[in-house]
Amino acid sequence: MGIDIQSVIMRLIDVSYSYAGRYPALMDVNLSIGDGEQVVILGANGSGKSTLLKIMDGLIRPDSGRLEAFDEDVTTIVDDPARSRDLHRRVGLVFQDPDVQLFSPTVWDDVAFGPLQMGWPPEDVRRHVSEALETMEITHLAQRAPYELSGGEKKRAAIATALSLDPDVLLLDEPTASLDPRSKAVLVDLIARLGQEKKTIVTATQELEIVEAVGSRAIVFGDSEHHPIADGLVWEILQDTELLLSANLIHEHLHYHGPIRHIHRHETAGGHHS
Amino acid sequence: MLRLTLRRRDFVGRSLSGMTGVLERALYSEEEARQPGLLQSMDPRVKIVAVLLLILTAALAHHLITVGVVYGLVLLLAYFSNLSLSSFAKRGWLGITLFSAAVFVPALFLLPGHPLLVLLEGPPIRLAITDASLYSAALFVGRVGTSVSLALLLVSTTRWADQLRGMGRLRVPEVFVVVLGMTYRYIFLLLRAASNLFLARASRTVSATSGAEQRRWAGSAVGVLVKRSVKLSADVHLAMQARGFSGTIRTLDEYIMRDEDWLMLFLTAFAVAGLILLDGRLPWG
Repeated sequence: MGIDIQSVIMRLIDVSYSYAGRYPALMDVNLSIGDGEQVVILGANGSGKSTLLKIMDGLIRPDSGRLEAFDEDVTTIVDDPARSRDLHRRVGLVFQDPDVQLFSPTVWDDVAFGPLQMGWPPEDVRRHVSEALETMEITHLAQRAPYELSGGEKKRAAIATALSLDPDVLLLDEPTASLDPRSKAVLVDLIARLGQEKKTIVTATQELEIVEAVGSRAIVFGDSEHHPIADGLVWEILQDTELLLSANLIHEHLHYHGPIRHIHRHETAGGHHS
Repeated sequence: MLRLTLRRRDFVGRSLSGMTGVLERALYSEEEARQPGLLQSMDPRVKIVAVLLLILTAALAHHLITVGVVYGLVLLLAYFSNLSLSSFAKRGWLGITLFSAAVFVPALFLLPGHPLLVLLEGPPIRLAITDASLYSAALFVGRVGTSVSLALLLVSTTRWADQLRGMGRLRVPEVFVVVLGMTYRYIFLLLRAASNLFLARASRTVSATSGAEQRRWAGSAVGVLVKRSVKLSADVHLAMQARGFSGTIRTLDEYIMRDEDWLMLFLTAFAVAGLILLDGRLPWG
């Protein structure tokens, strides 16, 4: 499976990364992200999704291979603070754990942190902060402390912290993990709306139920391969149950409906019947 | 069974209720600071300066009357800030103030003066509480209690975020203010993690455990928390870098002094000057 991309905004060529030089997270990853695309990175726990997003945001340097962003080689950008800052302005990363991202006394301070580090004038900072809060529908939470927020509110605040820099690319790491169904639905709607505005969004997830809403293209990472094993349109990927089974995204499950013994496939998250 | 419950309450139970208490008090304090009231509506910079001036006045006062007047002012401000006076007074005087009173006990028998209560008479030792030592003790405890109450007044009427911003605007180094803010923020997270560790242990404890075993477990829990906090700090640093942080913290001044803020500052300065004058004119002892 493959997909034609009109205008490439980010490209990874033979990228590999391992922790402590022993535990591989990514192995020979080749992929491209098109301008204005909404891509879903699908993979089970430990398949390297979070590491991939950190490399794409220039936070960690790959052991080997090349990273290109906006027609520039940014593989070693970690060592160059000025270029790093420019890349971080254009690529926003939302971490899986929102508590990591919300480190300021209030939501407003957290959302303003990025624009202030960029040295923008105060009026621009205020405008970008209020736009980001409005987009994520959390203006009423601006003066709240992070520990006063619910899980869903924290996730929305974390996305707002990245949006306030008005990035060209938004990287979302497991945005709906550990959320209740209603918070999940609200968040998925907001992400889908950002996609409709032609923002380039890369969402790493293992929750198949949100895939169609947040992306049009899906890249599947193998359970043990640590590189993409499939790349295609979302609806094609979701129909390929053998592929999803091999990537540990669905599983076979035996249970009983009253007296009837029943075996069928389940998604890894949510227990949805396929 | 009763013994087991009591033992659990001894160690895990007390730790849990302590942690929960800290979280609850912090949340309650933030709620209180959001209520409408005189001090809640003031600029945090004015409140910080006013409280510092009044603490200095109380700490340097030579007379109980001066300390009493400062405490009267504190109660007046608490009343107009819609704080519950009984709860405010309790929080201000219990704990630290009682501790300071205990610290002062030996000095009660050391200062010369007219004896009020003789505990031990005759050579070679004479133990007596004198009028001068009792006055000194009352002055010391009064100073501590008033200073603690003033600090409490500030934290009860000013949200933590505003206290930090106020400090920043008063030229406290930004790095210090930001680190203080982040420390406070993540203490909550680690408290919650610690509380979960204790809960998980309590749920799996089916018989009484020895003191040595409890200490071993507490040691390993500390180790787990340290590992978590190290990972958390590395992740937070990455999250800061992801938003352009490169070693220098930049913040935004959001405060504008209004007429009522200037008036409050002027009134505090006036009151402090009056109190210093009063303290100087009162007869010694």
